[in-house]
Amino acid sequence: MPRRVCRAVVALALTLAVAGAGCGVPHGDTDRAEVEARTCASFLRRSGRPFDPAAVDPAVFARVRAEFLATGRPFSTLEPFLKACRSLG
Amino acid sequence: MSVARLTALSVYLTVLVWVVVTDGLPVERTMVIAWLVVAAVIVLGGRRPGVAARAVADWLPVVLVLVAYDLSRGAADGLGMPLQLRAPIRADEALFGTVPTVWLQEHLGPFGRDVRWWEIPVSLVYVSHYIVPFALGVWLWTRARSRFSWWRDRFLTITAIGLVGYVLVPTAPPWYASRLGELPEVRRTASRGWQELGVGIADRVFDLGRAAVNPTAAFPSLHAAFALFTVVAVWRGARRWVRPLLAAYPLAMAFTLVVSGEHYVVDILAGWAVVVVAVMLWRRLDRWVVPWRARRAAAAAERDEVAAVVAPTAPPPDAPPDRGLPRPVWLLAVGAAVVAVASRMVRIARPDVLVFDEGYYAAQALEVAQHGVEVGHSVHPPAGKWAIAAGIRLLGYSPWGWRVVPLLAGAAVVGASVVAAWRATQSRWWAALAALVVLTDGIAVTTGRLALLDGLVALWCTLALVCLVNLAAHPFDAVLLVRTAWWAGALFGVALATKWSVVPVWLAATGFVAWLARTARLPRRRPLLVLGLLPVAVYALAYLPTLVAYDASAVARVACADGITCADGPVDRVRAVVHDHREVLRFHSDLEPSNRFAVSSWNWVVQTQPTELWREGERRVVAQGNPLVWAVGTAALVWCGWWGFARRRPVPLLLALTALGWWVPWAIVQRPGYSFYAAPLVPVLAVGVAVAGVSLPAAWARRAGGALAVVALVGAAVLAPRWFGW
Repeated sequence: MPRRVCRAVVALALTLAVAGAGCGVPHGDTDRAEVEARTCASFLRRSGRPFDPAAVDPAVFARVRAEFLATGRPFSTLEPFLKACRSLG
Repeated sequence: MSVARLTALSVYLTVLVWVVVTDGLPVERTMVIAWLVVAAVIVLGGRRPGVAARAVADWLPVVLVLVAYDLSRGAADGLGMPLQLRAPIRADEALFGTVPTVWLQEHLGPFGRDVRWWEIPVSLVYVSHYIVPFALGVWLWTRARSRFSWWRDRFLTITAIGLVGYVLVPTAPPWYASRLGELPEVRRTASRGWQELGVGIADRVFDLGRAAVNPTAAFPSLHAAFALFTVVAVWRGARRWVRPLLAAYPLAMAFTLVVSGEHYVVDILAGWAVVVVAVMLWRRLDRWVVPWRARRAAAAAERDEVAAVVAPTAPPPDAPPDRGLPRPVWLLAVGAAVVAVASRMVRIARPDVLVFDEGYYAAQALEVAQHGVEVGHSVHPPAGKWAIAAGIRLLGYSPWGWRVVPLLAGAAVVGASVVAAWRATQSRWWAALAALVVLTDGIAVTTGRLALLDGLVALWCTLALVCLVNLAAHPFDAVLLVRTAWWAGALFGVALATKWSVVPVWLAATGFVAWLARTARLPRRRPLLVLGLLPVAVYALAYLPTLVAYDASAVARVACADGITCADGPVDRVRAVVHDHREVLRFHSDLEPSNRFAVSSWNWVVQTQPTELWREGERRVVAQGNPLVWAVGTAALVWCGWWGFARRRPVPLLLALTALGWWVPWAIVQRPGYSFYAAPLVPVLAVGVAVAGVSLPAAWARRAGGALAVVALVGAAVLAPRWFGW
């Protein structure tokens, strides 16, 4: 393949990959809540504090995030996660 | 004076005034040297060609030995040498029947709120230690090379002996012994005169010069040694009426040190003895060193003459130079990248939780994938998050999703290192070794399988390095110069839009291209404009999605909450982005070390303080390079620096400048850093090893390279469980 064509294909692929990045993620919010629940459980196990694993529910993380979003106020990326996680252990 | 030098001098003075007004008089010794040398270079620039490179080559050893001084505290702690607390007290008591510091403070004190007149000269004399010796060195450097060499040899010897003393005999000064209850109350009074003068540098002098660096560096006293050495250095040339004043300086320094509780008399006597030893030692060594230097200078002058004849007349080649890569090198690069992917993807989904800063970057990347902007406030530009988002879009919000792009980026770094090393050395063997160094480095491995921005920065900057190394290998190619400026400019732009820490490296690269084009006598206005402006344009472009999807962004929330604007017109959006930049800058400026694994970039050299990224039970993920490989790599880069600056070799010079661009800012700023911030330095280190290795005598080269390969592989085998969290 001529070099120019090769470069054009690579550039096009990269552009599409990055541009396509903003097209949404199926189940993104649900997956995020589950990942945050797992991460929180890991933190709590590591801290050695007693906690109820069954209470580390993804729904808690989804709810706290929705509350932060509803305020319209700025918040750090980790703030909702930390607030939810602290409430559990 | 030419327009260029006049402009440079104006910029210099403006920046100096700004620094003094905002931050106080610069008193940190390496900064003092930098300010003085830059001033000398600007003044001498038009008269002596190559003076800047010569300045770096001449002053680098002095800076390095001062850096070693700053690290001496760590070395003393590491060796477990006992702190000397009583011994200097007993020595002073044996000499004077009492401890002079205590006696003086009892008779001249108490040191209450009022400052006495004599405390002002005491403070001035104390602070002169941070400026006078280096001002003298720079003055000698501008006058005559032989006199500067005389000064530098003895200065380095005195400092080195002092260093040995600090490491082997860590000694508590009187104020410290007083705090530990070994002496009656001894106050540190050397800064009190500054309070009276109202000059706001005292605290910084005392933080930087004493406590923060090495509070047990008391024996021998380098304050006393440098004061005496300064007098020795100028004594012969001084007029007779000046000599009593000169003789008073070390005595005034001795009084200052004792009365202010900084040193015992025995420390001062030891400092003076060190000067005598150094001067006597060099009186003997000069019999061999001076003729050797004369021979080297003659040989260098001959080489420069040849170069001066050859360089301007070296024509651009008639045919376009062969810029393509041989097929074996391509195969090597691709093969190394495949090995990187294969080795790093092992259990990449473990841990299946957000590790360290993945909590920010993976989450923000998801927000970018969902909304086109970061919804939670972010302190880094968006390009890195867009790259990670591509993986999340493809594989969902899972460990594989947020780690696949860093994995591919890390593999590309390995491949690019092969290309850069081959471009620099034309040796497949050394290119393969460079690949091995990156493949087996813990920093590269951890950032190559976790969603941290540093692995992505490493990719963009390594690709830019490939372009620049290629240019350095073909310095007379005008077409390549322009093309490199475009490619490197675009890559630095993306890197800049990932993390701001790229700025010094981008500036260093621009300076390098300016120097190379000037040396090769190629038109440089266009490439420099491209390299200077294109990254800014790419950076601005990275904020286009923020301007478009503004309503959902954290930028809009912050601007509204801070009262900047709650409207969403085009101008409001731009104002909000500018305000966000101010907030982010404030965040980085005010950041306090909150993580106990934050490490100084000084430790990158030895890799003994790794950053723990994740831990659960016995399993840990740690970003740690192989200490031996890093030590060898650092030595190789220092050698590249000497070779590049002193001999003006483009490739080693480029590597040294790039390494300094990554390392120096983190060594200077107070902001906490982590070991994985060194990720973009790993390929530079690897190429530096290749460049240094290829210049070794053939009989040693393969053996040295083979030994390093074994060390890298064994280190990887030992450390891999910590990188992978097994």
